[in-house]
Amino acid sequence: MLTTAIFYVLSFVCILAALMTVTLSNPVSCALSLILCLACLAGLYAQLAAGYVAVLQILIYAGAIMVLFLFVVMLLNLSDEEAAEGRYDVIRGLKGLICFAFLVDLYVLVEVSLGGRIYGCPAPGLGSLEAIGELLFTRYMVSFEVISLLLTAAVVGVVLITRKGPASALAAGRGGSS
Amino acid sequence: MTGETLLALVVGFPLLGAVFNGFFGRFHGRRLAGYLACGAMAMAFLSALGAVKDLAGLDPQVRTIHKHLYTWIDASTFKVDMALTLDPLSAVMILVVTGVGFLIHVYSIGYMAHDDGRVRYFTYLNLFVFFMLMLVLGSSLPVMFLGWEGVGLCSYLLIGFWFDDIAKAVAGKKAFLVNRIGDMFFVLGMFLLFWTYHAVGSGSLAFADMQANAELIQAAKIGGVAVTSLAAFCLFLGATGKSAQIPLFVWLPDAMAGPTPVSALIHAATMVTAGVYMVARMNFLFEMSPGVMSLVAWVGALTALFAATIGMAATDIKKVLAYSTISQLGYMFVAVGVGSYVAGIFHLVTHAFFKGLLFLGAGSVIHGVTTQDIRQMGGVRHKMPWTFWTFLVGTWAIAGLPPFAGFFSKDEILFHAYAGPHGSVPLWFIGYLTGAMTAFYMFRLFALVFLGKTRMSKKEYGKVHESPATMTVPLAILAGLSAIGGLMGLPHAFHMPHLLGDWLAPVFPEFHVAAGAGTELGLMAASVAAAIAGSLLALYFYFKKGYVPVPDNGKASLPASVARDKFYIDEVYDGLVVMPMKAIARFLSATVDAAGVDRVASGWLPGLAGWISKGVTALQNGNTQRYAMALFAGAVALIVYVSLFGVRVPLA
Amino acid sequence: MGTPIPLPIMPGDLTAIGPLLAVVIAAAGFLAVDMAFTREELKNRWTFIIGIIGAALAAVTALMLDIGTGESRLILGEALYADLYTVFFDLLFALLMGASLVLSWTAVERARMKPVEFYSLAAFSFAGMFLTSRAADLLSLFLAIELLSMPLYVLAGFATTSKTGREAALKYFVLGSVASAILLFGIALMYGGTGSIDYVELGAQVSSGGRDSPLVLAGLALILAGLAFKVGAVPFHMWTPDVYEGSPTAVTALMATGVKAAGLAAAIRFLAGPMAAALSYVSVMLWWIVALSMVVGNAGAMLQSNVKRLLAYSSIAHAGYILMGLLGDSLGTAAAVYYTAVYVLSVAGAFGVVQYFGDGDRELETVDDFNGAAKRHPWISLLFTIFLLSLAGIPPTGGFVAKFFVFGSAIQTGHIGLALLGVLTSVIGIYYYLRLVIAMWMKDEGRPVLAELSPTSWVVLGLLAASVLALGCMPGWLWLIVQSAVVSLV
Repeated sequence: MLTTAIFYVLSFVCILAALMTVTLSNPVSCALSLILCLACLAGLYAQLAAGYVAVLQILIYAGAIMVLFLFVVMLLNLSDEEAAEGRYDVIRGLKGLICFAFLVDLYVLVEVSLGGRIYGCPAPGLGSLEAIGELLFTRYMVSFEVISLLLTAAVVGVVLITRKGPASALAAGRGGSS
Repeated sequence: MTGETLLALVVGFPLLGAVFNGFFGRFHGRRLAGYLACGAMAMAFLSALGAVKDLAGLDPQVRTIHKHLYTWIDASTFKVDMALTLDPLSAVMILVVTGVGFLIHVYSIGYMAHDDGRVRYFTYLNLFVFFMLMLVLGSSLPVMFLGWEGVGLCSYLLIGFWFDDIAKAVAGKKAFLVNRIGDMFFVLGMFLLFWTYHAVGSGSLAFADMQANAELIQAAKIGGVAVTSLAAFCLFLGATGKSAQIPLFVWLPDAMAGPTPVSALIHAATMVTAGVYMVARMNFLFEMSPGVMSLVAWVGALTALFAATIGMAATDIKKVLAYSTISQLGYMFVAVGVGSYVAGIFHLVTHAFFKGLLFLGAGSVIHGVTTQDIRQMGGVRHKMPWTFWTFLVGTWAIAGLPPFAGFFSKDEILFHAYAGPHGSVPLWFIGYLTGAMTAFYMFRLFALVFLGKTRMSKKEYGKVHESPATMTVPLAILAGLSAIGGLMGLPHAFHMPHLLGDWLAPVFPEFHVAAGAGTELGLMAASVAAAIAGSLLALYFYFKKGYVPVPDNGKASLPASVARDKFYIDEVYDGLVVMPMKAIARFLSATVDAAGVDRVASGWLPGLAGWISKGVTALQNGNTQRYAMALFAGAVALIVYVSLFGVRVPLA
Repeated sequence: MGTPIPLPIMPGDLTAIGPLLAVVIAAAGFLAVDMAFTREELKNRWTFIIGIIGAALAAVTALMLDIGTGESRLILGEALYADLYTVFFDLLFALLMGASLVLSWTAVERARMKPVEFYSLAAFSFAGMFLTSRAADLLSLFLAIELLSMPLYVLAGFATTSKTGREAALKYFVLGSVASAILLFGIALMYGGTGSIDYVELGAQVSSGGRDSPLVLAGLALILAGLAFKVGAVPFHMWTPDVYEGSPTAVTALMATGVKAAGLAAAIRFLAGPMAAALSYVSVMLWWIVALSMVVGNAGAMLQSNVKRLLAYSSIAHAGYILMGLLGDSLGTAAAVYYTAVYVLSVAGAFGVVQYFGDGDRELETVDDFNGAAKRHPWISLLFTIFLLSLAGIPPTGGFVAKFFVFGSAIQTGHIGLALLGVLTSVIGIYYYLRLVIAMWMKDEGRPVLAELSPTSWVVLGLLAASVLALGCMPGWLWLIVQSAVVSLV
């Protein structure tokens, strides 16, 4: 009973925060709403017995990524977003319709395929650090390695972007960059 | 050398010539290019002679030589060999293609002597012959299609040979596009056949296999229509494109923009007859669909009549010949349509001789006179005796006057259209009428060009000269062939052997004519009378009376020598022929062509495509959010579809 | 803590991912070169050497794979496949990498990128490509696609100074992220519906009906959408024209060849592999994607005057033709693979040629810019024409045979309407490809400038053209290989 109550509270706050993220006009408020949303998600993960993922969710998203967001917001000194003009009503309506269709459809899908049925509880220890660690180095070793490649590629990309592209500029600032 | 090796050499030499000229032409110079091309053709012709001699040595029942070059496509159930097959039918064709082709190559040396693009010209010409031989010798539909597309490409390149002139480049494009429509149907027919044969367990599109398994697919139907009929219909539509029949004939008159030897080789003697050859080659398929057969015959007859009508009014020497080509091709389709394949091929061969001759003659005239307008010629006979006499032979032959080639082949067609099992009196009558008209317009052309007093200025007339020997010798040879070519198919009424018919007998189904020799002789007399009447009428008007067709822009620039009474005749002529013809043409061009074909083919279809294109581009407004929305909408559409319909699909 | 768990590496596994290792080592090599040398010539020379060695090594190790009896083998903890199919695509991508090194060099420098930077990022992208054809579960698939895309997001924008270039890069990144989200969501639904992400397990579940679930179908649909984005099929195509046009040509060439081929390699593996039973559920959707791609792609290209946009739209159409093969039986799948190979060779050649045309910094942009090319540069125009004819599907090029196979299989499996639409739309295709050919050969006024081609470039372009022609004249041998490769999929 209590679990169900917590689930609904978390879900409600999560959805509300997500809505606020896309509707508020102040970038900082948006970012903070997103943190709230992500934190609620972490709570939901914890409820699903995925403790490790829940912790990581807080650490990485709410911690690292959102701090980065806030830095960017502050560095760029972003002001309030201008209120969108109401000219493209048809397009807006269309967008709304698509989102509505998506939500309804998702509900129907989940209801039809799972309605009433409960797939048993996850095996004990499934979301534990040990279990995840084991999987990462056995079954998902390749994925693990590929992620490292992906990160390397991202780092290389970032370095290149910050080098300011053109060769001439690079040659001039050669001494400092390496 | 064995027949098989010779067969490979037949296609090999022109290809070698094309490759050599194409890649090294710029190094070895223009003069050598012509000789190389002619050498390649001569070798090809000799190889063809050798191969046919080997073929003739075989027993008539097994008279084929098969040369497997390599496996083109091998897809377990579908296999296409790059293979050549020589049988009596393709033997006739390769002799015509290489023989007439060789003469026209020689002629080209003289004709193109002053052109800077000779290397390119001879490369294309050799390449054309190569593809034409592939078309003729290909042992299966896909290989034939390879040649079919190849000759279309070369035709396009050669029509637009002088592409500096926009009109000529456009003419090339028109020919290519119209042909593509036909080709699309050819491909569709090929797919249909493959699909049907594959369903009965034979994935081969080789002619021999298809013929052997023809009975298996007889019962196959799509939507209540027999597949055989549908496929035959599609293939025939393909043939109307290549062979310039209604409704896809429009490109051929424009194709005259190319150099005249090209008109002679591609647009008279060889490529345009590919449709006839294809129908003859696929006779087993057409025989299974009588409806399509009679369609073939009627389209041929109507095209023959229609083109002859226009030919009577044309004033450009090459246009007259172009329309007459369309008309003569119509005859060939009448022949194959009534099931008389031998007569069709017979006419194809004689037509290759005399129409090749006429075009080369016209080229010689143009070479000397430097205009193509027959109203500004006249009296050329004194300046160009060789051209004059040979052209007369050609005119005589095409008019169907005995004893030259055209007489025999045309009369065989008319007789079979009248008395053959699929023939009928109306079909014969249209052919008969066309025959008279042919005689009229050809002698009109002849009289206006060669006879009477010249209508050129003294200075111009003084410059007119006979063409060099490289041009007149091929003319003479073709004239000889046009004169005696008919002997290979003497009528049964003469109680002489029909050499061509006997030679082709193993390839075609038997053809019986109900009527006897009396009917044949009667019809013959009738058509000779019509031809003589047509010829005399033309000579009377345009030689004796010296009438000249009015200029395109009306009375204003009428030459003073043209008197009132001529005007009267011309008005009658105008009223009887030109006006109805123009009305038909206007109807065809305004209603059928512009409002129908054009609007659909060049208005609606591109219009539709253009409209979609504009729509597509308009959606593409560069707005990232819009793109993201479209992306998301697509995904939503997919899962909504799944929820609505997918759930009902039971998981197996 | 229990007993130590052995790593799931079997003997031979490393050979099986040899091409992947080769290209990763090459990537590391590029980075090392960048650090080790200061002189540009040395950097360039070593970049080229390492790149070529990497590509060659990838090809060699691909050929070293023991395919045994031709059946698919799962390696490295059942995350990847090793079979003839992977060998086929490995060779294709290795070839592409070599071609990119040789042919894109000029364009890279023209775009003011330094080759070492370009290729060090591109190498990671190639690593992603080598992974897509091997992915045996949805996680590997997702990561492969991300690894493939990430470097290109950077490459598309970081060097350009133009606004359109930056806009294109941002667009590519944002839309790519949306597509990734859709793909990931689909994977999540799939996992939610079945509790598995392994192709084999998923396939077994779908065909046995163990867990009938609309979630599976929805997941399938969304995965299809995500892959269709990478492949550039309608309605997930809208990024292609803008991004192809705005990106440096060297990057566009990679997108049009590598990304598309990798997306197709993944899609074919996913839809025609162990999951083939699921294909029947999405076949209607696939039908529409194919039909719309052919129509929109060809119609969009018809009126384009910008060459890169034209090729972008036409690449949409080709995605349609290739996916059409998936609607057929195993022969159709083979046709799709065959078409992919021909397409990659032709487009690599076409972009290879386009990259060399241009004046100083400026590239040729519109079709009219190519006027008179043949008069001044006949040989390269001839090569370009061969590639264009192949794309248009005119015999005797590989493009014709590929179209023939695809349409043939569609007809054979009863998709006659689709085949008809394919033939009709390819007529439009002929129209716009021939516009370029006509501009080159039949117009005189232009004076297009051609950058100097190194002998290596000539050799590579010549080889590409020769292979395109060979695939048109003698398709048999490759067709047999492709068929066995497809057999190993299931």
